[in-house]
Amino acid sequence: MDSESPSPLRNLLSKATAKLGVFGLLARIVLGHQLAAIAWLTMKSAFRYKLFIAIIVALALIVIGLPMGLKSDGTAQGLTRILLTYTLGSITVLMAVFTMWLSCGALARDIDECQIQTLAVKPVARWQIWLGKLIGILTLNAMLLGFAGCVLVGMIEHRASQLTVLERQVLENEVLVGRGVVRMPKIDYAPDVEKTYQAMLLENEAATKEVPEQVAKGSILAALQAQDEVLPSGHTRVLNLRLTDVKDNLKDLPLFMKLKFFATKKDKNNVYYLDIVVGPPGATESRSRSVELPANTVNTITLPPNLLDDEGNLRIEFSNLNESDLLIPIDGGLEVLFREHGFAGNFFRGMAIIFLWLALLATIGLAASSLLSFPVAAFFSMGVLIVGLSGGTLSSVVEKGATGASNHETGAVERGLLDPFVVTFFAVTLKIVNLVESFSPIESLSEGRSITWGELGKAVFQIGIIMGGFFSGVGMVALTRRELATGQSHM
Amino acid sequence: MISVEEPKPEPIDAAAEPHEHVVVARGLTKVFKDFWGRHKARAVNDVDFEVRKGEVLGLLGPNGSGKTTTVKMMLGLLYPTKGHIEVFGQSPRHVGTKARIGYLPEESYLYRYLDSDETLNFFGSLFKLESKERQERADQLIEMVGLKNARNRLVGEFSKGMQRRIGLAQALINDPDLVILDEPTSGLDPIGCREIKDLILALSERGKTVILSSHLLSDVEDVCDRVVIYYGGRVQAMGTLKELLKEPDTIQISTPVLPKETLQRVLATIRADVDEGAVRVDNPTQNLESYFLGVVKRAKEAEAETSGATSGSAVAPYLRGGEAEKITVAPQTDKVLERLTRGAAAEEEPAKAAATSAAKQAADESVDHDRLTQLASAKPEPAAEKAPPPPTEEAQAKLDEANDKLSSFLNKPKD
Repeated sequence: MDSESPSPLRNLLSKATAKLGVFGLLARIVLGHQLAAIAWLTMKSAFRYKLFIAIIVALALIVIGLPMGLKSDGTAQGLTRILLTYTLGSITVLMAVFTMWLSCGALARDIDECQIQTLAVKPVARWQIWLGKLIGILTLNAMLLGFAGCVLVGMIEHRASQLTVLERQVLENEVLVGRGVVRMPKIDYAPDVEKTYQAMLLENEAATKEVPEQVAKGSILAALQAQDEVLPSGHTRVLNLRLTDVKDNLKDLPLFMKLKFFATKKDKNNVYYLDIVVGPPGATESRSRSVELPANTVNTITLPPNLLDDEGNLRIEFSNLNESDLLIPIDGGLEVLFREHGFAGNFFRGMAIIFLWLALLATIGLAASSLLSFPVAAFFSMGVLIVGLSGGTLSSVVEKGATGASNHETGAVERGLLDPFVVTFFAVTLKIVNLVESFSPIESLSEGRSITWGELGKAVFQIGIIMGGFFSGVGMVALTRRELATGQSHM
Repeated sequence: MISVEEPKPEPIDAAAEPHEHVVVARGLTKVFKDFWGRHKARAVNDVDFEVRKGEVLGLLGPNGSGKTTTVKMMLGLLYPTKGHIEVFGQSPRHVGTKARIGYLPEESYLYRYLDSDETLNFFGSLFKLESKERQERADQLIEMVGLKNARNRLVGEFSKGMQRRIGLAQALINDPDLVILDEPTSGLDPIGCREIKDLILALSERGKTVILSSHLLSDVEDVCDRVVIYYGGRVQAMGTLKELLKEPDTIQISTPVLPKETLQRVLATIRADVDEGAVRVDNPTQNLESYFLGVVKRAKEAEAETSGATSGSAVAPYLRGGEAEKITVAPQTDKVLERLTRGAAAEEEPAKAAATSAAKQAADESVDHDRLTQLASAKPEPAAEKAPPPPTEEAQAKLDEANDKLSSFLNKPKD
């Protein structure tokens, strides 16, 4: 029987694959010779200096050792806390430090130790050197994150098999899933605040102006919010949440209500009684339930399936059966979660956002090392990281409009001379930080919340393109303009 | 060896022909500044020079004189404070131009975690060489620089000399038109030094331009066509070695050992024209480099083993150009010198391992330099083992003239 001879293209491909390996061949095709070579060089340094192995071992210790070292309470929540919150958080921190170190070293060491002088005299543009280094670091990150992710999923599967059937069901319904969220619609109180303040001025200008405007408006806002948030004793409040877009996908699926409230009178046991009716009024599908719930805590209540009305609205009626008034905050007081995606896709998207964070750190490290020596670049990068993690402080200063403390008696804030500049700088920094910090993949994965493709796309745009692009541009321009032989003692 | 003062100096061949310039520097100045912008050092100060295509130019000067700074500006690693510099008619920062340049830095600025093979493959990739060609070149270069036995060792484990060798190999991976070598023999053993010099001559014969920065006078003297001498960031002297080194009032004659009577006759003849104190008679001595090379050659023939760098082999074939030019260049250069010093009708005695530099110098003074240069830069001989081809008529005439000159000094008719 005649055998068909392989095509020249297939021959070429098989030879190239044998020579370069699949990844090498792909890199060559996608990146071209030069970028692939520099990326390969960057990876090689991590391999040859055993850094890669050290990180693999550290990751393995975290992913396997940490869950074994921490005692689980045998619940789905406990398992989730250990494996997703702590372990994935630790992986992210370790990878962030590794990325910082590698990215600062990859370029700064080349410059400090003068190897860049041999590299930069070859026909490769300096931006290509920079980009090649970045690609090498990102490839290492992808490999390490992939490894850690796979082991972590394996650990989840393994530990889940040790749970009771009931807890396993909770895990599958509430954690190993991507759940969408609907919240109470936000209300813009600013026009009403302004209107009320003006009315007060008209009524009694002198008295109104005795209190600083900001403080007065703050009080008005609190009062207006309270009208919508407070559920007085013995009263009932009806809330309608819109699930119109997803109602067809929710047939026969349970919903999960997360409720957090505060009490004006503290009960000895911190337990409060509520009647909750869910579903269209009068419909046979409606479910009524009396519950005892603690205040100041997120309480999860599973709602039976098929409680939406024909338009996809979910009606929830709360009755306060306590002596104390209750406050259900509009922001974060009530959420209803519903199954949207499977866990695998959700986990992948979460890891992709973590990867984007690491990519941003890599661009910051490389940009710093384009200008600075290795230790200074590392110091600078760590500084940027710390500023990034100080979003709370920044936002508090911006909210107050001053760096000083507020007067406890009057509530007025004392402003310094430099405050206008500092607050403006903090406001800009906060906006930048929020571009990155507004994503919380670890929290979402731990709570089984959906990380949508749209959210991932937004992360790619905000973290990858805007922030990463900015630092990449700075780094490439700095390296291109820099004299690379000034650290040279010979002349 | 007899030295006498010669009354009339030879005219310097200074025919100014138009040259194609590979590097042009005009008013080149480099001032290093500190963090606050204050002047720290004026490393290069208002330097003008050009490098002609195909020449071997030596940048000579003591440490800190500005040689390396000039080289780094030529490579776009430093930017001039004033003036400008062009390489192949382009800014040194022009990426495309860099494909024509090979650079050996003054230290081993290579990646310590790569082995020889990986180093050459990596740098070859930057020139977009296809895998097969890259590997072929890497193999040839590793062979050439004598690192065949150490090709899988990491560069970080290499001795300084071995690092120079792999550094040289990476500088040649692209078969460059302009080769810039900064202190190329630094850290090399005498064999390595000789091989590098041979390589420079080979590159020069292929029409490559070589810039050699060194503070070792012998390096520059052995291979350079022209030199630029730096001191304090300024060019102090510039010209061909012939122009700069010529002592027009002295000649040297080398002969086999003469009978006492003959020597007395020769001296009497010379002293008739020259003061006794101006005539010197002694035995030429072999220089240490030649002696060392002879010892190593004998040891190598006895197959002594070494785990370090071995003596490099012939110049990599791709650096020699066409297939017909498969010959080592150093022997050819030596042979030309040998032919000229012994005369065209020299006996068929096997050539010595290396002609002594004293003999070369004597020959240099007794023959037509232009002719020597012409012959030295002639097409390589077809095979190293073959006897040298008969000289051309013109060469024969020149050699006869040299013989006449020698005969007249010896007061003896030529053969």
